[in-house]
Amino acid sequence: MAKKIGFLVNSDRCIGCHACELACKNEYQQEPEIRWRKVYPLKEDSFGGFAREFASLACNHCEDPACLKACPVIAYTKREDGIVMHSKERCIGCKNCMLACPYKVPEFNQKTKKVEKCHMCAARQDRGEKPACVVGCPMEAITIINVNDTIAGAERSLPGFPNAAITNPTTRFIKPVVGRQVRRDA
Amino acid sequence: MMGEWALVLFTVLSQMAAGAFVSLWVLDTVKGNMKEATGTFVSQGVVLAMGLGLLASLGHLGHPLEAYRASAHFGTSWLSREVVLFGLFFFLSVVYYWQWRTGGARHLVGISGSIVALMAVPTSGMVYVLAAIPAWNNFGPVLFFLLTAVTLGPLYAAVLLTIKQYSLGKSLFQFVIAALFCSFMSFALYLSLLISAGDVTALTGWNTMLSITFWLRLFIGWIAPLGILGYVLAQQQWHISRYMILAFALVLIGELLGRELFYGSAVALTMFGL
Ligand code: SF4
Ligand code: SF4
Ligand code: SF4
Repeated sequence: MAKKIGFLVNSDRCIGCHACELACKNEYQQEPEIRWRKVYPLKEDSFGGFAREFASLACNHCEDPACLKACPVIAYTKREDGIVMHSKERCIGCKNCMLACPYKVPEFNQKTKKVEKCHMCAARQDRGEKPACVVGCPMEAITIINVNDTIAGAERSLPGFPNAAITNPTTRFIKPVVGRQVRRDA
Repeated sequence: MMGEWALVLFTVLSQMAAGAFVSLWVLDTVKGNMKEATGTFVSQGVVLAMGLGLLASLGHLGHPLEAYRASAHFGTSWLSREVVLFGLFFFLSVVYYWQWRTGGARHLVGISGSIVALMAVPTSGMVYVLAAIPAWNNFGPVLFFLLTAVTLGPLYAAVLLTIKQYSLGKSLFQFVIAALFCSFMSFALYLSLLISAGDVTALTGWNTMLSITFWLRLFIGWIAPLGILGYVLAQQQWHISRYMILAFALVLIGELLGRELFYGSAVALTMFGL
């Protein structure tokens, strides 16, 4: 089966430091109010105990992208490897994709009057480099995976994530383990 | 939603134009006694409303001068389909007006324009049938857009016809009363379905109910015009003309308020409750 890439978001490793967001902003010099990647706090009692946990998300490069279907000017295209690209040249700033994306991913840039979003650092990946967020995370909590591979512990959703059946996102999650005890035996 | 005034004006004016076009064509076909000057005047009104609507829609775009490219994704995007159908409807309205004005054969363009109008309005509604916004992901947008067309459109046509001293029978107003009543009842049903659905859908319902705009829309757009039209039609000697502009203005304001509420109250799916 052809390679289809996606983000693996490991919420068990994530400490909510936002370094991934900043690495992304820095790489693409985003406007202050724009964040292609966002770190979301998870509901504290979602995993069987009270704990502060996080999930770092950008575009989910969905298999069935709602943004692509809604856009009237074909500004969105899906590459062979699964990356959903957005063309700033084609975009006319109608914001229809912002309404259609269930994950609130496309953002409107007030300066360019166009929409923008994460492209999984497609150019970096084409050069054989890792995406900026992957490199910027001190906990190695974000990785790029082939979604056709079986990855131990990887799930398609987290509590509070919109229904994955809508657009079939390629993002996979590792759930946080809450209440883990570390014992040092004498 | 940003710039929603543009969408409010575009959707309401385009639906009004579509409804008025069909009304004119039906009256012309069924009664067949309309003077050319009268038909010219009404079809000119349709062109004006649709033209203003299209102009307003540009206000929603970041790059209005590139709007012409929005038909590119016709195969998949409801927005592209809306652009194509309303563009075609505008063109047919201009041709219809020209045929009235020059006395040319108008029935073919009348029936084509009516068919395109009847396709364009539900297509507009489909733009908003989105899984990301559960309150819209149902029959609501299509039904309410059609109901705007069948309430406001005939009233707009009636105002223009009355200005030209065209004598209208009761049936047009009986139809508008029935359509207004359907609009009111279906909205009540829709609202109760939203509120009972839970989650962000219920939030949309409560946003609607607790908004002053909803109560203004209820009295201005439904109760007052229904009362006025009902009162006038119940008279033995009925003179609609003096109430016509009032009823039209009330329904127009009601629809504008209702559309503002539609865009302003909708709550999308949340990311982890945020
Ligand atoms: S997450 Fe949203 S913007 Fe990204 S591909 Fe899916 S639908 Fe499109
Ligand atoms: S804002 Fe741009 S990318 Fe989004 S739907 Fe409109 S034209 Fe397409
Ligand atoms: S940089 Fe890594 S650890 Fe920090 S918030 Fe992002 S994903 Fe989590």
